[in-house]
Amino acid sequence: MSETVAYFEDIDIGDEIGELEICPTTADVIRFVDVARMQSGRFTDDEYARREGLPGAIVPGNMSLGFLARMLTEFFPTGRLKELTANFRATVPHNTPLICSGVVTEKQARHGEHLVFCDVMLGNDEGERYVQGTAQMALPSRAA
Amino acid sequence: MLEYDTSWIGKEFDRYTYDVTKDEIVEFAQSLGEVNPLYTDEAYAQATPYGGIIAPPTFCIVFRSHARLPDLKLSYGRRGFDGGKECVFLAPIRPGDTITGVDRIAQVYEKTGRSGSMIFIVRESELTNQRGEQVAVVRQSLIRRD
Repeated sequence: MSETVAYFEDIDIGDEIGELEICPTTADVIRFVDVARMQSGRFTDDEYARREGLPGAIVPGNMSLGFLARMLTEFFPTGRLKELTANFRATVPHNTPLICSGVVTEKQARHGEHLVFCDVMLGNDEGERYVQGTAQMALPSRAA
Repeated sequence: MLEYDTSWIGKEFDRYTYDVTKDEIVEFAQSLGEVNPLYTDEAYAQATPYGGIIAPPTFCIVFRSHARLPDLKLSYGRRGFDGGKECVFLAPIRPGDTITGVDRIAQVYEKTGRSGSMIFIVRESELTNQRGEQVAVVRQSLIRRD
C-alpha cells in the first residue's frame, strides 16, 4: 500500500482506498485462531471441514474482518476506526491471494467529528467477493 | 414460518471477564500482518497521543463467550453459520485492562431467498473495561437453516 490519507479534506466521495493484498496460509490461520480463542477444526483441518459440508478448511470471518480493519487503518494512519460491518457472503479458502479494497461513499462533519464512510470488500483477483461491508472512520481536519 | 421463544430478546444470557496482556495484543496484531508499531512497540506508542500500546480495533472479537445460545425453540434451522459482524469501536483496549462482556439476543428475524428461508439470530456483546468505559459493541449474525 503506497498511498495514505491523513486529513478529512484530502479524500473525496468516490475515491478508492489503497488495496491490501494478503495470502493467509494455513500456518497464518492456525496462529490467528489460537490468539483469537476460536479453535475449531473447520478453520484448520480440511477433513473436519469437509465433514461439516465445507470445501476445506476456511479462513475465519473474524480474520477477514481484521484484514479489512488493517486496510483502513493503514490507509488512514491518523484516523480512528469507529464502525466496521462485514457480511460473510462466501467461505474464504486458505493459501489464496486475497485483495481488500474499498471506496468512499459519504463524508460528514458533525458533532465536532469529521467522518468518512466507506464500502469495503474482500475478494480474489477474479472478482469473486467473499466479504462485503461498510466502515466509518473519524479523521483529523485541517480546519480544526 | 418462524416461531421462537421471544422471552429471550434483550435478556442477558452470559457474562464473562478477560484480562488483557501485552503479549496477546502483539500476537493478535502480528497474526494479521499488522506493521503499525502502535500495537507492538511500547517506546513508539508512548510518544503517540495514546500514551502506550493499544490493541488493533478488531481485537474486541477475542472476548468471546463459549456459552451456547439459549434455547430459542426455533421452529426450524438445524444448521448454523456465521453470517457477519457489526463492530462499534468506542475506546482503545490496552494491556492490563480487564474486559467484561455481557451477551444478549438482540434480534431474531427471518429472510427468504432463492435457496429458501433462513433465520437470523443477532447476538450482541457489550464490552466494558475495569473503569466502566464501554470499549466496543459486537453484533454477530448467526444464520440458521435446515
